[in-house]
Amino acid sequence: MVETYLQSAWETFYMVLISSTVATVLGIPLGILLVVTEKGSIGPNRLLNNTLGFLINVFRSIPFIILLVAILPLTKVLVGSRIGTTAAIVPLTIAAIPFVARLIESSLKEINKGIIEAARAMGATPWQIIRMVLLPEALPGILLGIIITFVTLIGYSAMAGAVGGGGLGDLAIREGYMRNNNEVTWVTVVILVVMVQVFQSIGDFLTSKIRKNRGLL
Amino acid sequence: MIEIKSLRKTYQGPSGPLHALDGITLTIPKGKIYGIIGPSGAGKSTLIRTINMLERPTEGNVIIDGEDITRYSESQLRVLRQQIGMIFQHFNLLTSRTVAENIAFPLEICGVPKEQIRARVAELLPLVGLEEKADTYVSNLSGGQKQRVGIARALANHPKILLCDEATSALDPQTTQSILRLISDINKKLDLTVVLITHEMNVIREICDYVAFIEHGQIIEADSVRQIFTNPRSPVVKEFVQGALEGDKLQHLLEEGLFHQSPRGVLIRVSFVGEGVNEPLISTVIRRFDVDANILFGNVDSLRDTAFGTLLIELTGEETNILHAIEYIRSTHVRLEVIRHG
Repeated sequence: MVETYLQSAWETFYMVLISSTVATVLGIPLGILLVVTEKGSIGPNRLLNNTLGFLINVFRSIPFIILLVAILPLTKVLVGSRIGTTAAIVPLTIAAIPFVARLIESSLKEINKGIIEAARAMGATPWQIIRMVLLPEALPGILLGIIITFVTLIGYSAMAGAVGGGGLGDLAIREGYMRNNNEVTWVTVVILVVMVQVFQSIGDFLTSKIRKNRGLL
Repeated sequence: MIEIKSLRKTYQGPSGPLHALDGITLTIPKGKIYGIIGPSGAGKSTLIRTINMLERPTEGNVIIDGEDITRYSESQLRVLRQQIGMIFQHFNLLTSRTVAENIAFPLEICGVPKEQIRARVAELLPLVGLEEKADTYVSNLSGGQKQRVGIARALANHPKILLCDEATSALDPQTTQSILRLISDINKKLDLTVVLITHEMNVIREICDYVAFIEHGQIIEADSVRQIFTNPRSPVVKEFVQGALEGDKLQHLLEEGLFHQSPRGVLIRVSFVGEGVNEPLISTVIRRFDVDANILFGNVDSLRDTAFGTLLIELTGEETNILHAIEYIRSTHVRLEVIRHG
Protein backbone atom coordinates (compact mmCIF):
# COMPACT_ATOMS: atom_id res chain seq x y z
CA MET A 1 0.00 0.00 0.00
CA VAL A 2 2.83 2.38 0.91
CA GLU A 3 4.17 1.83 -2.55
CA THR A 4 0.82 2.81 -4.08
CA TYR A 5 0.83 6.04 -2.11
CA LEU A 6 4.40 6.80 -3.11
CA GLN A 7 3.67 5.96 -6.75
CA SER A 8 0.61 8.25 -6.74
CA ALA A 9 2.46 11.06 -4.95
CA TRP A 10 5.21 10.83 -7.55
CA GLU A 11 2.68 10.97 -10.39
CA THR A 12 1.08 14.07 -8.89
CA PHE A 13 4.46 15.71 -8.38
CA TYR A 14 5.58 14.83 -11.90
CA MET A 15 2.41 16.12 -13.58
CA VAL A 16 2.40 19.33 -11.58
CA LEU A 17 6.11 20.00 -11.91
CA ILE A 18 6.21 19.58 -15.69
CA SER A 19 2.98 21.48 -16.33
CA SER A 20 3.80 24.37 -14.01
CA THR A 21 7.29 24.64 -15.50
CA VAL A 22 6.01 24.74 -19.06
CA ALA A 23 3.18 27.08 -18.06
CA THR A 24 5.66 29.41 -16.38
CA VAL A 25 7.92 29.50 -19.42
CA LEU A 26 4.95 30.30 -21.69
CA GLY A 27 2.94 32.37 -19.24
CA ILE A 28 5.66 34.86 -18.26
CA PRO A 29 6.02 36.26 -21.81
CA LEU A 30 2.23 36.57 -22.04
CA GLY A 31 2.10 38.39 -18.71
CA ILE A 32 4.86 40.73 -19.87
CA LEU A 33 3.03 41.29 -23.15
CA LEU A 34 -0.16 42.16 -21.26
CA VAL A 35 1.68 44.83 -19.27
CA VAL A 36 3.87 46.38 -21.95
CA THR A 37 1.12 46.65 -24.58
CA GLU A 38 -1.10 48.52 -22.19
CA LYS A 39 -1.89 52.18 -22.86
CA GLY A 40 0.89 54.43 -21.54
CA SER A 41 3.36 51.58 -21.15
CA ILE A 42 6.58 50.98 -23.08
CA GLY A 43 4.98 49.35 -26.15
CA PRO A 44 1.30 50.29 -26.26
CA ASN A 45 -0.76 48.19 -28.67
CA ARG A 46 -4.47 48.28 -28.02
CA LEU A 47 -5.46 45.54 -30.44
CA LEU A 48 -2.90 43.07 -29.14
CA ASN A 49 -3.67 43.95 -25.52
CA ASN A 50 -7.42 43.52 -25.94
CA THR A 51 -7.14 40.31 -27.94
CA LEU A 52 -4.74 38.76 -25.49
CA GLY A 53 -6.84 39.80 -22.51
CA PHE A 54 -9.95 38.35 -24.13
CA LEU A 55 -8.31 34.99 -24.98
CA ILE A 56 -6.91 34.68 -21.47
CA ASN A 57 -10.35 35.33 -19.99
CA VAL A 58 -11.93 32.73 -22.27
CA PHE A 59 -9.44 30.04 -21.29
CA ARG A 60 -9.73 30.93 -17.64
CA SER A 61 -13.50 30.57 -17.71
CA ILE A 62 -13.58 27.06 -19.19
CA PRO A 63 -14.08 24.55 -16.35
CA PHE A 64 -10.98 22.36 -16.12
CA ILE A 65 -12.85 19.07 -16.52
CA ILE A 66 -14.36 20.34 -19.79
CA LEU A 67 -11.00 21.57 -21.05
CA LEU A 68 -9.49 18.22 -20.20
CA VAL A 69 -11.88 16.39 -22.51
CA ALA A 70 -12.14 19.10 -25.16
CA ILE A 71 -8.47 19.14 -25.99
CA LEU A 72 -8.01 15.37 -26.20
CA PRO A 73 -7.19 15.54 -29.95
CA LEU A 74 -4.52 18.16 -29.27
CA THR A 75 -3.11 16.04 -26.46
CA LYS A 76 -2.85 13.11 -28.87
CA VAL A 77 -0.90 15.25 -31.36
CA LEU A 78 1.44 16.67 -28.74
CA VAL A 79 2.33 13.61 -26.64
CA GLY A 80 1.16 10.75 -28.83
CA SER A 81 -1.46 9.46 -26.40
CA ARG A 82 -4.83 10.53 -24.99
CA ILE A 83 -4.42 8.82 -21.64
CA GLY A 84 -1.84 8.45 -18.92
CA THR A 85 0.13 10.74 -16.65
CA THR A 86 2.02 12.41 -19.48
CA ALA A 87 -1.22 13.01 -21.39
CA ALA A 88 -2.65 14.81 -18.32
CA ILE A 89 0.21 17.30 -18.46
CA VAL A 90 -1.17 18.91 -21.63
CA PRO A 91 -4.54 20.11 -20.23
CA LEU A 92 -2.90 21.03 -16.92
CA THR A 93 -0.40 23.22 -18.77
CA ILE A 94 -3.03 24.83 -20.97
CA ALA A 95 -5.17 25.64 -17.94
CA ALA A 96 -2.19 27.08 -16.11
CA ILE A 97 -0.80 29.35 -18.84
CA PRO A 98 -3.48 32.07 -18.64
CA PHE A 99 -3.42 31.75 -14.85
CA VAL A 100 0.33 32.38 -14.79
CA ALA A 101 -0.06 35.24 -17.28
CA ARG A 102 -2.51 37.06 -14.99
CA LEU A 103 -0.36 36.51 -11.89
CA ILE A 104 2.73 37.81 -13.70
CA GLU A 105 0.74 40.75 -15.00
CA SER A 106 -0.34 41.77 -11.53
CA SER A 107 3.13 41.46 -10.04
CA LEU A 108 4.62 43.53 -12.87
CA LYS A 109 1.97 46.20 -12.39
CA GLU A 110 3.07 46.69 -8.81
CA ILE A 111 6.40 48.11 -9.94
CA ASN A 112 6.68 51.84 -9.36
CA LYS A 113 6.07 53.55 -12.74
CA GLY A 114 8.76 56.07 -11.87
CA ILE A 115 11.45 53.40 -12.12
CA ILE A 116 10.33 52.58 -15.66
CA GLU A 117 10.32 56.26 -16.53
CA ALA A 118 13.85 56.59 -15.14
CA ALA A 119 15.01 53.72 -17.36
CA ARG A 120 13.39 55.37 -20.39
CA ALA A 121 15.10 58.63 -19.47
CA MET A 122 18.44 56.77 -19.59
CA GLY A 123 17.73 55.61 -23.13
CA ALA A 124 16.83 51.99 -22.35
CA THR A 125 15.14 49.97 -25.11
CA PRO A 126 11.83 48.25 -24.26
CA TRP A 127 13.67 44.93 -24.18
CA GLN A 128 16.27 46.30 -21.76
CA ILE A 129 13.46 47.62 -19.56
CA ILE A 130 11.85 44.18 -19.49
CA ARG A 131 15.10 42.38 -18.76
CA MET A 132 16.81 44.86 -16.45
CA VAL A 133 13.88 46.52 -14.70
CA LEU A 134 10.56 44.66 -14.90
CA LEU A 135 11.74 41.10 -14.24
CA PRO A 136 14.30 41.74 -11.47
CA GLU A 137 12.06 44.28 -9.71
CA ALA A 138 9.08 41.91 -9.76
CA LEU A 139 11.10 38.80 -8.93
CA PRO A 140 9.60 38.19 -5.45
CA GLY A 141 6.06 38.56 -6.84
CA ILE A 142 6.84 36.34 -9.81
CA LEU A 143 8.23 33.61 -7.53
CA LEU A 144 5.12 33.72 -5.38
CA GLY A 145 2.98 33.52 -8.52
CA ILE A 146 4.81 30.38 -9.65
CA ILE A 147 4.25 28.75 -6.26
CA ILE A 148 0.56 29.67 -6.30
CA THR A 149 0.33 28.07 -9.74
CA PHE A 150 2.08 24.94 -8.50
CA VAL A 151 -0.26 24.61 -5.54
CA THR A 152 -3.35 25.28 -7.67
CA LEU A 153 -2.25 22.63 -10.14
CA ILE A 154 -1.98 20.06 -7.34
CA GLY A 155 -5.73 20.56 -6.91
CA TYR A 156 -6.45 20.44 -10.66
CA SER A 157 -4.38 17.27 -11.03
CA ALA A 158 -6.97 15.36 -8.99
CA MET A 159 -9.25 15.61 -12.03
CA ALA A 160 -6.55 14.15 -14.22
CA GLY A 161 -7.87 10.74 -13.15
CA ALA A 162 -10.53 11.35 -15.79
CA VAL A 163 -7.94 10.70 -18.49
CA GLY A 164 -6.15 7.98 -16.56
CA GLY A 165 -3.55 10.41 -15.35
CA GLY A 166 -3.13 8.77 -12.00
CA GLY A 167 -1.86 10.74 -9.03
CA LEU A 168 -3.10 11.21 -5.48
CA GLY A 169 -6.48 12.71 -6.37
CA ASP A 170 -7.19 9.82 -8.68
CA LEU A 171 -6.24 7.35 -5.95
CA ALA A 172 -8.51 9.07 -3.44
CA ILE A 173 -11.47 8.91 -5.83
CA ARG A 174 -10.96 5.37 -7.17
CA GLU A 175 -9.79 3.57 -4.03
CA GLY A 176 -11.10 5.83 -1.29
CA TYR A 177 -14.40 7.27 -2.47
CA MET A 178 -15.75 4.68 -4.91
CA ARG A 179 -14.76 1.67 -2.79
CA ASN A 180 -15.69 3.49 0.37
CA ASN A 181 -12.22 3.05 1.83
CA ASN A 182 -11.98 6.04 4.19
CA GLU A 183 -8.44 5.31 5.22
CA VAL A 184 -7.16 5.78 1.65
CA THR A 185 -9.10 9.03 1.32
CA TRP A 186 -7.68 10.41 4.53
CA VAL A 187 -4.11 9.38 3.85
CA THR A 188 -4.11 10.92 0.38
CA VAL A 189 -5.64 14.11 1.74
CA VAL A 190 -2.93 14.27 4.40
CA ILE A 191 -0.20 13.71 1.80
CA LEU A 192 -1.71 16.48 -0.36
CA VAL A 193 -1.88 18.85 2.60
CA VAL A 194 1.76 18.15 3.43
CA MET A 195 2.79 18.67 -0.20
CA VAL A 196 0.99 22.00 -0.41
CA GLN A 197 2.46 23.15 2.91
CA VAL A 198 5.98 22.22 1.90
CA PHE A 199 5.90 23.96 -1.47
CA GLN A 200 4.13 27.04 -0.18
CA SER A 201 6.70 27.31 2.64
CA ILE A 202 9.59 27.02 0.21
CA GLY A 203 8.05 29.77 -1.88
CA ASP A 204 7.41 32.01 1.11
CA PHE A 205 10.92 31.44 2.37
CA LEU A 206 12.58 32.32 -0.95
CA THR A 207 10.38 35.36 -1.46
CA SER A 208 10.93 36.82 1.96
CA LYS A 209 14.63 36.11 1.71
CA ILE A 210 14.85 38.19 -1.47
CA ARG A 211 12.72 40.95 0.03
CA LYS A 212 14.78 41.02 3.22
CA ASN A 213 17.98 41.08 1.24
CA ARG A 214 16.70 44.09 -0.71
CA GLY A 215 15.68 45.85 2.49
CA LEU A 216 11.99 45.69 1.57
CA LEU A 217 10.80 43.92 4.70
CA MET B 1 22.30 75.64 -25.12
CA ILE B 2 18.71 74.53 -25.09
CA GLU B 3 16.16 76.50 -27.07
CA ILE B 4 12.50 75.86 -26.52
CA LYS B 5 10.30 77.42 -29.17
CA SER B 6 6.51 77.97 -29.04
CA LEU B 7 6.03 74.63 -27.36
CA ARG B 8 2.49 73.30 -26.96
CA LYS B 9 1.24 70.09 -25.44
CA THR B 10 -2.45 69.37 -25.64
CA TYR B 11 -4.18 66.43 -24.01
CA GLN B 12 -7.67 65.28 -24.89
CA GLY B 13 -9.45 65.59 -21.57
CA PRO B 14 -12.99 64.40 -20.77
CA SER B 15 -14.30 67.97 -21.11
CA GLY B 16 -12.37 69.11 -24.17
CA PRO B 17 -8.69 69.68 -24.84
CA LEU B 18 -6.32 70.50 -21.96
CA HIS B 19 -3.32 72.69 -22.67
CA ALA B 20 -0.52 71.47 -20.42
CA LEU B 21 1.91 73.70 -22.31
CA ASP B 22 0.50 76.72 -24.07
CA GLY B 23 3.19 78.33 -26.18
CA ILE B 24 6.39 78.17 -24.13
CA THR B 25 9.52 79.87 -25.44
CA LEU B 26 12.72 79.74 -23.39
CA THR B 27 16.45 79.84 -23.91
CA ILE B 28 18.56 77.90 -21.44
CA PRO B 29 22.22 78.93 -21.58
CA LYS B 30 25.02 76.38 -21.42
CA GLY B 31 26.61 75.67 -18.05
CA LYS B 32 23.98 77.54 -16.01
CA ILE B 33 21.36 76.41 -13.52
CA TYR B 34 17.92 77.24 -14.88
CA GLY B 35 14.97 76.99 -12.52
CA ILE B 36 11.37 76.63 -13.60
CA ILE B 37 8.91 77.42 -10.84
CA GLY B 38 5.16 77.37 -10.62
CA PRO B 39 2.24 75.87 -8.72
CA SER B 40 1.36 72.21 -9.20
CA GLY B 41 -0.51 71.61 -12.43
CA ALA B 42 1.22 74.55 -14.10
CA GLY B 43 2.93 72.33 -16.66
CA LYS B 44 6.46 72.25 -15.18
CA SER B 45 6.63 68.51 -15.20
CA THR B 46 5.51 68.25 -18.81
CA LEU B 47 7.93 71.00 -19.80
CA ILE B 48 11.02 69.36 -18.30
CA ARG B 49 10.05 66.04 -19.93
CA THR B 50 10.08 67.62 -23.39
CA ILE B 51 13.81 68.28 -23.01
CA ASN B 52 14.49 64.53 -23.27
CA MET B 53 11.25 63.85 -25.18
CA LEU B 54 9.73 61.62 -22.52
CA GLU B 55 6.79 63.82 -23.50
CA ARG B 56 6.47 64.64 -27.17
CA PRO B 57 5.07 68.13 -27.67
CA THR B 58 2.01 68.66 -29.85
CA GLU B 59 3.60 71.69 -31.50
CA GLY B 60 6.86 73.64 -31.34
CA ASN B 61 10.53 72.71 -31.17
CA VAL B 62 13.17 71.80 -28.65
CA ILE B 63 16.63 72.54 -30.00
CA ILE B 64 19.71 71.28 -28.16
CA ASP B 65 23.03 72.64 -29.44
CA GLY B 66 21.44 73.40 -32.79
CA GLU B 67 19.76 70.00 -33.21
CA ASP B 68 15.98 69.94 -33.35
CA ILE B 69 15.21 66.90 -31.21
CA THR B 70 11.47 67.03 -31.88
CA ARG B 71 12.31 65.50 -35.28
CA TYR B 72 14.28 62.62 -33.77
CA SER B 73 13.19 59.00 -34.18
CA GLU B 74 12.83 56.74 -31.14
CA SER B 75 16.28 55.23 -31.66
CA GLN B 76 17.91 58.65 -32.08
CA LEU B 77 16.15 59.73 -28.90
CA ARG B 78 17.56 56.77 -27.00
CA VAL B 79 21.09 57.85 -27.90
CA LEU B 80 20.26 61.44 -26.94
CA ARG B 81 18.80 60.38 -23.59
CA GLN B 82 22.01 58.58 -22.76
CA GLN B 83 23.62 62.03 -22.77
CA ILE B 84 21.01 63.72 -20.57
CA GLY B 85 20.94 62.86 -16.87
CA MET B 86 17.71 63.07 -14.93
CA ILE B 87 16.87 62.95 -11.21
CA PHE B 88 13.43 62.61 -9.69
CA GLN B 89 11.38 63.65 -6.68
CA HIS B 90 10.93 60.05 -5.58
CA PHE B 91 14.43 59.01 -6.70
CA ASN B 92 13.16 56.09 -8.84
CA LEU B 93 16.01 53.75 -7.97
CA LEU B 94 15.95 50.02 -8.64
CA THR B 95 15.16 48.17 -5.41
CA SER B 96 16.64 45.02 -6.94
CA ARG B 97 20.08 46.61 -7.06
CA THR B 98 22.68 47.92 -4.63
CA VAL B 99 23.96 51.50 -4.69
CA ALA B 100 26.89 50.59 -6.95
CA GLU B 101 24.65 48.53 -9.26
CA ASN B 102 22.17 51.40 -9.53
CA ILE B 103 24.95 53.76 -10.57
CA ALA B 104 26.13 51.15 -13.07
CA PHE B 105 22.65 50.79 -14.59
CA PRO B 106 22.81 53.55 -17.26
CA LEU B 107 26.26 52.30 -18.27
CA GLU B 108 24.94 48.76 -18.73
CA ILE B 109 22.19 50.20 -20.93
CA CYS B 110 24.88 51.70 -23.18
CA GLY B 111 26.82 48.45 -23.24
CA VAL B 112 29.92 49.83 -21.51
CA PRO B 113 32.41 47.01 -20.72
CA LYS B 114 32.34 45.70 -17.13
CA GLU B 115 35.83 46.91 -16.24
CA GLN B 116 35.05 50.46 -17.33
CA ILE B 117 31.77 50.39 -15.43
CA ARG B 118 33.55 49.39 -12.25
CA ALA B 119 36.08 52.19 -12.68
CA ARG B 120 33.39 54.79 -13.36
CA VAL B 121 31.30 53.71 -10.35
CA ALA B 122 34.42 53.95 -8.17
CA GLU B 123 34.86 57.54 -9.39
CA LEU B 124 31.26 58.53 -8.75
CA LEU B 125 30.77 57.09 -5.27
CA PRO B 126 33.15 59.58 -3.58
CA LEU B 127 31.74 62.45 -5.66
CA VAL B 128 28.38 61.96 -3.93
CA GLY B 129 29.89 60.83 -0.62
CA LEU B 130 28.63 57.25 -0.66
CA GLU B 131 31.83 55.17 -0.71
CA GLU B 132 30.71 53.31 2.41
CA LYS B 133 27.33 52.40 0.95
CA ALA B 134 28.41 50.83 -2.35
CA ASP B 135 27.00 47.39 -1.55
CA THR B 136 23.88 48.50 0.33
CA TYR B 137 20.46 47.94 -1.24
CA VAL B 138 18.81 51.30 -1.84
CA SER B 139 15.78 50.65 0.37
CA ASN B 140 18.10 50.84 3.37
CA LEU B 141 19.13 54.41 2.57
CA SER B 142 17.75 57.74 3.82
CA GLY B 143 16.03 60.11 1.38
CA GLY B 144 19.10 62.27 1.01
CA GLN B 145 21.32 59.26 0.35
CA LYS B 146 18.84 57.98 -2.23
CA GLN B 147 18.97 61.29 -4.07
CA ARG B 148 22.76 61.15 -4.01
CA VAL B 149 22.57 57.75 -5.71
CA GLY B 150 20.15 59.32 -8.20
CA ILE B 151 22.64 62.09 -8.92
CA ALA B 152 25.57 59.68 -9.32
CA ARG B 153 23.45 57.54 -11.65
CA ALA B 154 22.47 60.61 -13.68
CA LEU B 155 26.12 61.62 -14.05
CA ALA B 156 27.43 58.15 -14.93
CA ASN B 157 27.39 58.70 -18.69
CA HIS B 158 29.13 62.10 -18.57
CA PRO B 159 26.00 64.01 -19.59
CA LYS B 160 26.06 67.64 -20.73
CA ILE B 161 22.61 68.30 -19.29
CA LEU B 162 21.07 67.40 -15.93
CA LEU B 163 17.29 67.53 -15.51
CA CYS B 164 15.99 67.76 -11.94
CA ASP B 165 12.31 66.95 -11.47
CA GLU B 166 11.38 68.36 -8.04
CA ALA B 167 14.58 66.74 -6.80
CA THR B 168 14.35 68.12 -3.26
CA SER B 169 10.59 68.20 -2.73
CA ALA B 170 10.53 64.93 -0.79
CA LEU B 171 13.43 65.91 1.47
CA ASP B 172 13.63 67.77 4.78
CA PRO B 173 15.09 71.31 4.75
CA GLN B 174 18.55 70.29 5.93
CA THR B 175 18.90 67.48 3.40
CA THR B 176 17.52 69.82 0.73
CA GLN B 177 20.39 72.19 1.47
CA SER B 178 23.02 69.49 1.08
CA ILE B 179 21.52 68.18 -2.17
CA LEU B 180 21.27 71.71 -3.57
CA ARG B 181 24.90 72.31 -2.66
CA LEU B 182 25.86 69.08 -4.43
CA ILE B 183 23.95 70.09 -7.58
CA SER B 184 25.57 73.50 -7.51
CA ASP B 185 29.04 71.93 -7.06
CA ILE B 186 28.71 69.52 -9.95
CA ASN B 187 27.30 72.31 -12.12
CA LYS B 188 30.53 74.25 -11.62
CA LYS B 189 32.91 71.29 -11.59
CA LEU B 190 31.54 69.56 -14.67
CA ASP B 191 30.26 72.60 -16.59
CA LEU B 192 26.88 70.95 -16.61
CA THR B 193 23.72 72.67 -17.81
CA VAL B 194 21.11 72.09 -15.10
CA VAL B 195 17.38 72.49 -15.65
CA LEU B 196 15.29 72.09 -12.53
CA ILE B 197 11.63 72.37 -11.74
CA THR B 198 10.36 73.19 -8.29
CA HIS B 199 7.52 74.83 -6.44
CA GLU B 200 9.86 76.18 -3.77
CA MET B 201 11.23 79.70 -4.24
CA ASN B 202 13.93 78.74 -1.78
CA VAL B 203 15.47 76.35 -4.32
CA ILE B 204 15.56 79.10 -6.95
CA ARG B 205 17.11 81.52 -4.50
CA GLU B 206 19.77 79.07 -3.36
CA ILE B 207 21.23 77.79 -6.58
CA CYS B 208 19.65 79.10 -9.78
CA ASP B 209 21.20 81.56 -12.22
CA TYR B 210 18.00 81.95 -14.21
CA VAL B 211 14.36 81.43 -13.41
CA ALA B 212 11.12 81.12 -15.36
CA PHE B 213 7.74 81.43 -13.69
CA ILE B 214 5.13 79.24 -15.26
CA GLU B 215 1.38 79.12 -14.73
CA HIS B 216 -1.41 77.51 -16.78
CA GLY B 217 1.21 76.28 -19.26
CA GLN B 218 2.52 79.77 -19.98
CA ILE B 219 5.64 81.68 -18.96
CA ILE B 220 4.74 84.66 -16.82
CA GLU B 221 8.25 85.99 -16.42
CA ALA B 222 11.72 84.67 -17.20
CA ASP B 223 15.02 86.33 -16.42
CA SER B 224 18.18 86.08 -14.33
CA VAL B 225 17.41 85.36 -10.70
CA ARG B 226 19.05 88.61 -9.69
CA GLN B 227 16.91 90.61 -12.09
CA ILE B 228 13.75 88.87 -10.92
CA PHE B 229 14.52 89.46 -7.28
CA THR B 230 15.40 93.12 -7.73
CA ASN B 231 12.75 93.96 -10.24
CA PRO B 232 9.81 91.58 -10.45
CA ARG B 233 7.16 92.82 -12.87
CA SER B 234 4.01 90.73 -12.54
CA PRO B 235 2.02 90.55 -9.27
CA VAL B 236 2.39 86.77 -8.96
CA VAL B 237 6.16 86.95 -9.23
CA LYS B 238 6.27 89.88 -6.81
CA GLU B 239 4.44 87.81 -4.25
CA PHE B 240 6.77 84.86 -4.76
CA VAL B 241 9.84 87.07 -4.41
CA GLN B 242 8.54 88.80 -1.33
CA GLY B 243 7.78 85.46 0.27
CA ALA B 244 11.27 84.23 -0.44
CA LEU B 245 12.94 87.40 0.83
CA GLU B 246 11.03 87.84 4.04
CA GLY B 247 9.91 84.37 4.80
CA ASP B 248 6.42 84.10 6.19
CA LYS B 249 7.30 86.05 9.28
CA LEU B 250 6.62 89.60 8.13
CA GLN B 251 3.47 88.59 6.29
CA HIS B 252 2.33 86.96 9.49
CA LEU B 253 3.03 90.02 11.60
CA LEU B 254 1.22 92.24 9.11
CA GLU B 255 -1.79 89.98 8.97
CA GLU B 256 -2.01 89.88 12.72
CA GLY B 257 -2.22 93.67 12.63
CA LEU B 258 0.55 94.09 15.20
CA PHE B 259 1.81 97.21 13.49
CA HIS B 260 -1.58 98.83 13.29
CA GLN B 261 -2.09 99.30 16.97
CA SER B 262 -0.64 102.78 17.16
CA PRO B 263 -1.45 104.38 13.83
CA ARG B 264 0.71 107.40 14.05
CA GLY B 265 2.78 107.59 10.91
CA VAL B 266 3.20 106.09 7.46
CA LEU B 267 4.14 102.42 7.34
CA ILE B 268 6.51 101.52 4.51
CA ARG B 269 8.35 98.42 3.41
CA VAL B 270 11.78 98.88 1.89
CA SER B 271 13.54 96.02 0.09
CA PHE B 272 17.04 96.26 -1.26
CA VAL B 273 19.40 93.95 -3.05
CA GLY B 274 23.17 94.21 -3.48
CA GLU B 275 24.58 97.74 -3.32
CA GLY B 276 21.64 99.11 -1.33
CA VAL B 277 22.65 97.11 1.70
CA ASN B 278 25.80 99.12 2.27
CA GLU B 279 24.26 102.59 2.05
CA PRO B 280 23.18 104.51 5.16
CA LEU B 281 19.75 105.15 3.67
CA ILE B 282 17.71 105.54 6.83
CA SER B 283 20.01 108.00 8.54
CA THR B 284 20.20 110.04 5.33
CA VAL B 285 16.41 110.22 5.22
CA ILE B 286 16.15 111.25 8.85
CA ARG B 287 18.70 114.02 8.47
CA ARG B 288 17.61 115.38 5.12
CA PHE B 289 13.85 115.36 5.55
CA ASP B 290 13.40 115.91 9.24
CA VAL B 291 11.28 112.83 9.84
CA ASP B 292 11.47 110.14 12.47
CA ALA B 293 11.97 106.56 11.38
CA ASN B 294 10.98 103.75 13.65
CA ILE B 295 12.26 100.38 12.41
CA LEU B 296 9.66 97.75 13.25
CA PHE B 297 11.13 94.80 11.39
CA GLY B 298 14.40 94.10 9.69
CA ASN B 299 15.90 91.19 7.85
CA VAL B 300 19.08 90.68 5.85
CA ASP B 301 19.84 87.52 3.89
CA SER B 302 21.89 86.47 0.93
CA LEU B 303 20.82 85.55 -2.57
CA ARG B 304 23.62 83.37 -3.93
CA ASP B 305 26.49 85.87 -3.58
CA THR B 306 24.41 89.01 -3.17
CA ALA B 307 23.05 90.39 0.08
CA PHE B 308 19.46 91.54 0.25
CA GLY B 309 17.27 92.87 3.00
CA THR B 310 13.86 94.13 4.01
CA LEU B 311 12.93 96.80 6.50
CA LEU B 312 9.53 97.72 7.80
CA ILE B 313 9.64 101.37 8.82
CA GLU B 314 7.15 103.73 10.40
CA LEU B 315 7.78 107.32 9.33
CA THR B 316 6.41 110.12 11.47
CA GLY B 317 6.64 113.89 11.10
CA GLU B 318 5.26 116.60 8.79
CA GLU B 319 3.20 115.11 6.00
CA THR B 320 5.06 116.91 3.21
CA ASN B 321 8.40 115.83 4.70
CA ILE B 322 7.24 112.23 4.73
CA LEU B 323 6.16 112.49 1.09
CA HIS B 324 9.55 113.92 0.14
CA ALA B 325 11.32 111.18 2.06
CA ILE B 326 9.33 108.51 0.23
CA GLU B 327 10.10 110.15 -3.10
CA TYR B 328 13.77 110.20 -2.23
CA ILE B 329 13.85 106.54 -1.22
CA ARG B 330 12.11 105.63 -4.47
CA SER B 331 14.83 107.45 -6.42
CA THR B 332 17.50 105.11 -5.02
CA HIS B 333 18.14 101.41 -5.79
CA VAL B 334 15.69 100.21 -3.22
CA ARG B 335 12.10 99.21 -3.73
CA LEU B 336 9.51 100.91 -1.55
CA GLU B 337 5.94 100.01 -0.85
CA VAL B 338 3.55 102.00 1.31
CA ILE B 339 1.65 99.62 3.52
CA ARG B 340 -0.41 102.14 5.47
CA HIS B 341 -0.89 105.86 5.04
CA GLY B 342 -0.85 108.01 8.14
